[in-house]
Amino acid sequence: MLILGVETSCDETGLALYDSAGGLLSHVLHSQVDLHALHGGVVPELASRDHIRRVIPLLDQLLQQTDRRTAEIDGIAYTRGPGLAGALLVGAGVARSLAWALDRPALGIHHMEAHLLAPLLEPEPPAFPFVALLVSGGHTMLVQVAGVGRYRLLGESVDDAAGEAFDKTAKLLGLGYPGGPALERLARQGRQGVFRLPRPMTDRPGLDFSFSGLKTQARNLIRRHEGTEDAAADIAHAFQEAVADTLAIKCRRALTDTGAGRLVVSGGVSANGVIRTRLDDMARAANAEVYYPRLDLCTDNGAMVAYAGWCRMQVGECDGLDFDVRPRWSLASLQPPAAD
Amino acid sequence: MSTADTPVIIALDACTEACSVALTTGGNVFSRHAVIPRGHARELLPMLDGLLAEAGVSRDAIGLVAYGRGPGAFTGVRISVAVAQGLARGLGCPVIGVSSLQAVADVAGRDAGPHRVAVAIDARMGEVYWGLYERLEANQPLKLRDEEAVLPPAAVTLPTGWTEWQAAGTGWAVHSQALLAALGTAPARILDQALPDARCLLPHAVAAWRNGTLENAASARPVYLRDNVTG
Repeated sequence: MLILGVETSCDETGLALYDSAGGLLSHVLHSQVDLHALHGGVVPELASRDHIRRVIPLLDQLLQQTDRRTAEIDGIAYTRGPGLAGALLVGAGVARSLAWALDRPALGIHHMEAHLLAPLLEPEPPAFPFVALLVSGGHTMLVQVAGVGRYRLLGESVDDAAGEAFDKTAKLLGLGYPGGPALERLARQGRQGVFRLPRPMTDRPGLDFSFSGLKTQARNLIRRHEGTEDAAADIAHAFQEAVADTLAIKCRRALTDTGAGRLVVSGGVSANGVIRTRLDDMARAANAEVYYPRLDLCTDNGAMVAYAGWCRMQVGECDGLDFDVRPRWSLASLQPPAAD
Repeated sequence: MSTADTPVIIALDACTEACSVALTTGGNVFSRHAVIPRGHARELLPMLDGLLAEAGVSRDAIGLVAYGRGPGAFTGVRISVAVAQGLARGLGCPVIGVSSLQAVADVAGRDAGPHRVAVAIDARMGEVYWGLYERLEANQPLKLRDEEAVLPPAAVTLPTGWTEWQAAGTGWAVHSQALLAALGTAPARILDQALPDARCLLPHAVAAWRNGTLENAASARPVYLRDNVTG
């Protein structure tokens, strides 16, 4: 079964072909990061305008790379939400109408489900059940995963997502957009222990996160030490340490609370090396295993959508002819795959 | 419309609050039109699917896809173009984009006589999408004069010598006073409820087919007119 995946929920246009026999055949991606960098953040209308220029050329590139034709596609999965409405509609519109033209089934996929299933594309995938930490510019959440479509939300950010806090703090440090990777590089030059920022919401029970206060405290430090040599690197270091520790503390708590022995970490922030190391250390101490997707599948991509699509479409699940998108969509509301 | 040399053509438009599809096969025309603001993503493909069933045409018989390419509501314009792209890529056929302003002019000038139509589609933010169309000889298509534009109602002008003209489009419902004040002349009639209709795209598609002025799926693009969107 050959599934085409189409992802356009934010600022990456991603397409991929997943084959039930051959695995992930290829995935192609166009990042709009340069387009939005000029504006210091994602401009939704610009994102939509770019997606519609990219989807078909990327599809052609994908088919050429894999030496496949559209007629060989058995089903088309696209991101239905959550995300930017206008951006989602482009991928949904192209994907759903392409499926209609080919007389193939189509299915709208939950973006966060795609992220949490992405590590299952790896050679040694985690078995169910597991706890998933989904951490990106748009989301920070802990989810108990019993199987495909069997999700219980354990906790989520009550304000900024971790990646958002990274980007905002990076901007305060004058690192441009997107600032996450730049902040990580700067933090390498920072010294341990010069500054200490709090580990938000770790001193009370529960698995929710809050990162906006951390960003505010970083801003206060930046103001106080403006002009001080090395302060920026030290602040970046302190900020990253605080986020890494917070995520590790909450993940450990989630593993304990659920009794799970496996942690899956996905989303753009999971590409951060310090966070990975901290989570690895935590898991070792907790006698648990951690699974990440490969680096290029941590950020938004079509491969995870194609794979999530296959997980559901293999049992016959598919949508009707509408391609309404769901910019806000609760992950916990999903159901296990079922034939329609 | 003589169609001996043309394939089955489908047309779709979702650029405004109207959502419409049309199909021509062997000289017969089938169409559906509904005013469903925010309902396009839900209804467009079911409308098309139903139209094919009604016409007794299978989807692999389709040889050309015409689409409303804007201007209009940005999201609607992209739905129109995205669906055209997906259909054309899946069917392996060319596409042809038609202006929403042209489609409104065609709705207003449906009979074949001479016409002059000043089209204004409400562009929100105190502006209109504006286009002037004229048919100087009977049985010719209404043709765009000058360029399409997005501008404040107070900035619109008419060419000298424009008499016996009609006004069409939702811009005339929202901004009629400002438009009439700017022009200083009154139209013979105002069709301020006129919305694009996919039926009106079909003759343009036939002409493009005969002229060979077709696009492929990847080159199907929206025309927004309003390009400064970062404020």
